[in-house]
Amino acid sequence: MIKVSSDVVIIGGGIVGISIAYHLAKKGCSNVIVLEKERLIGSGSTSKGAGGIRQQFSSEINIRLSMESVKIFEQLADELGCKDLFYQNGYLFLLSTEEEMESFKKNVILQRDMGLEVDILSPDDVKSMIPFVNTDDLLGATFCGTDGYADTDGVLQGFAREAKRLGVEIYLQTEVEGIEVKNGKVCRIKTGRGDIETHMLVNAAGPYSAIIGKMAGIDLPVRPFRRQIFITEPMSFIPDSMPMVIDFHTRFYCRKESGGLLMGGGEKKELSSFDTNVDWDSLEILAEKGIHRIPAIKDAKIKRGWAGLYSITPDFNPILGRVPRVEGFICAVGFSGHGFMHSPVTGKLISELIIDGEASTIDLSPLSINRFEDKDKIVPEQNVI
Amino acid sequence: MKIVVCIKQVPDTAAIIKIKQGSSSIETEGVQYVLNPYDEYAVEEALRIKEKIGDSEVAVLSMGQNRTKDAIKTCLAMGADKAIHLIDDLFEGSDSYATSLILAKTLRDIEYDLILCGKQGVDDDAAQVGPSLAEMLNIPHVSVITRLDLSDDNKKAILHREVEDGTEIIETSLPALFTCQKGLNEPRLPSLKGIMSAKKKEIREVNSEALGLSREEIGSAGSKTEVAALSLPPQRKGGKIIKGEPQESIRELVRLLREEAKII
Ligand SMILES: Cc1cc2nc3c(=O)[nH]c(=O)nc-3n(C[C@H](O)[C@H](O)[C@H](O)COP(=O)(O)OP(=O)(O)OC[C@H]3O[C@@H](n4cnc5c(N)ncnc54)[C@H](O)[C@@H]3O)c2cc1C
Repeated sequence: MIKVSSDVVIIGGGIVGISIAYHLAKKGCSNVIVLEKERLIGSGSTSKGAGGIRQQFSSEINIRLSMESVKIFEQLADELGCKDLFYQNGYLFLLSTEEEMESFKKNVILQRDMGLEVDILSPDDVKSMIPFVNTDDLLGATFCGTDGYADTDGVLQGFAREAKRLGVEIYLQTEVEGIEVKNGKVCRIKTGRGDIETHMLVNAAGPYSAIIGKMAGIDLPVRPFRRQIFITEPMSFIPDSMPMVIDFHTRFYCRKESGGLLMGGGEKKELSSFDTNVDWDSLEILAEKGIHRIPAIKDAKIKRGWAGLYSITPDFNPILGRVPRVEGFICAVGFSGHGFMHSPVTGKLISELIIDGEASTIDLSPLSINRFEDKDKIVPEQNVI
Repeated sequence: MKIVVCIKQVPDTAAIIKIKQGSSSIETEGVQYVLNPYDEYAVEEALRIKEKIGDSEVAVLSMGQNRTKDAIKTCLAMGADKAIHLIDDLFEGSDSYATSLILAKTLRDIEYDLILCGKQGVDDDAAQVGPSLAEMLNIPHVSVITRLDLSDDNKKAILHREVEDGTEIIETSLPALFTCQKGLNEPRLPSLKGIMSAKKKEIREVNSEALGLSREEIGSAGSKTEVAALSLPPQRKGGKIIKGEPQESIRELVRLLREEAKII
């Protein structure tokens, strides 16, 4: 039997929903239910990600979200009482054109102003950092040593374990089928296993969040797009200290994983869809770009690959906070490929919003859904992979 | 030597299968497709023969929808030389018999010394297409092989197949068809270079018209069998842990195996 009422109902047991549940419980609100349609938490985008965590963004709000999240990631192992999950090997952005150099230099000024340590490197610096990278056509790079990557499942399970210990209920195989709104207020969630009364709902349904929005009559500009990752067999020349490398011009990226490389990015342009089949064309494109940047991987064997979904908004920034006209409906959606790295701070912000009535760690107004009303005012994030 | 490998694209064995409401087909949305695992052994064996004896060609043959190209390309990236993709809306709904017929028609115009198939597709587990194809082509076939050796003149093959309590060793003349079982070899993974070179390899599309097959001979019209219904296997019940001292718990285990599970 599932509970028939709850203070807060979170729709979606991905990293975002689970982080929100954990942060609510940690802050004292543990009458919380998480509803997940699949058999396991994290079955959606969360289990498909690369685990990358970076602070090198072009807009202040994203840099802020990342810097606050990194603070949480840095002490997460202690907080959750588990082994270290965060590998701060840095993010190396490789740059090939004058234009890219210009815009990244501008970003670095902003990032440094905000207190982030970022270096601008020459192609020779890159070569001495990672000798197997082809630097022939590079003009430079930027590097931030406090960026890195983390074990996504470790973080997810850690948050979930603590949330449950503090009293949160996570219902699996429980799909939300409808939302009842009365007099402009959320009052009931309909699920395949019964109804739950609540006045506070958090939409954390990732790629499906627009469908959840529609159930309450809200139009959310969040669309699913397929993205893929491929893993090679182990290769002896990859050091443990290898940073996440982003070839910004082609969007090819890679980092060390299980002795080999985890590679992604640089896929063909596609229409929005829920398709999560591995697409061979994209693998061909990735192989070409990858071999160009790291020639030594040409004989690398592809051990496995998978496809997952990005949830993309028109400006590649998430939609966080309340929505007009439906009281008790809170969004934590549209992370546009950055939902794992921004999940810790999102949990914190949404818990502040629900418990204190306002988010205090970061001002959420730039991430409000209202920003899309005036299309001319939208400033898209530039550093999107 | 000219080797043809027949392959199929199937739902990933890790996919969670849902049956379409009130129908005898599965929900394809959200299902991932892969190269049939047993076909990987067939491709690998073909490549090993080519590498060993040289002067050979490995052609891949597959019937399926557009997405089947990905399975074909996997084979080309592993090292196969070229492929034929049998693609036609009229092929949809073909059972093992109709599929074998379509493959047989295709192979009538192709030179081959050896045909390799997986022992079965992991989707319907019918294990029919290989043997029926060989029958239609009127060539010898040996199923479920775990070892393949060629005679010195490459005119004969010696096959091993596991049978109860032993190994059956069979010799046959070529051309012949063999279906491949786990244990035959360890299939290679495609390399990045292989993926790049697969881009340049030929995939020839062939439809029913080109094969001279009529509407009545293929698809569900040409099938000899019909799927009456599909149902999921019963959900597995949780395990049981028997606690206590070994002597007692073993007695309890034996009792349960006898009385509850009824297997001893
Ligand atoms: C290939 C790839 C690489 C990526 N790399 C990175 C990276 O390096 N760094 C990074 O930060 N991010 C990365 N991401 C993005 C990141 O994975 C996502 O932003 C993040 O996982 C979003 O988490 P979520 O909880 O919002 O969504 P999800 O994990 O998708 O969770 C949403 C959940 O809601 C459930 N749900 C949906 N509808 C319903 C319903 N009606 N009822 C009940 N439950 C429902 C779903 O089943 C799902 O489990 C990557 C994504 C992909 C695909």
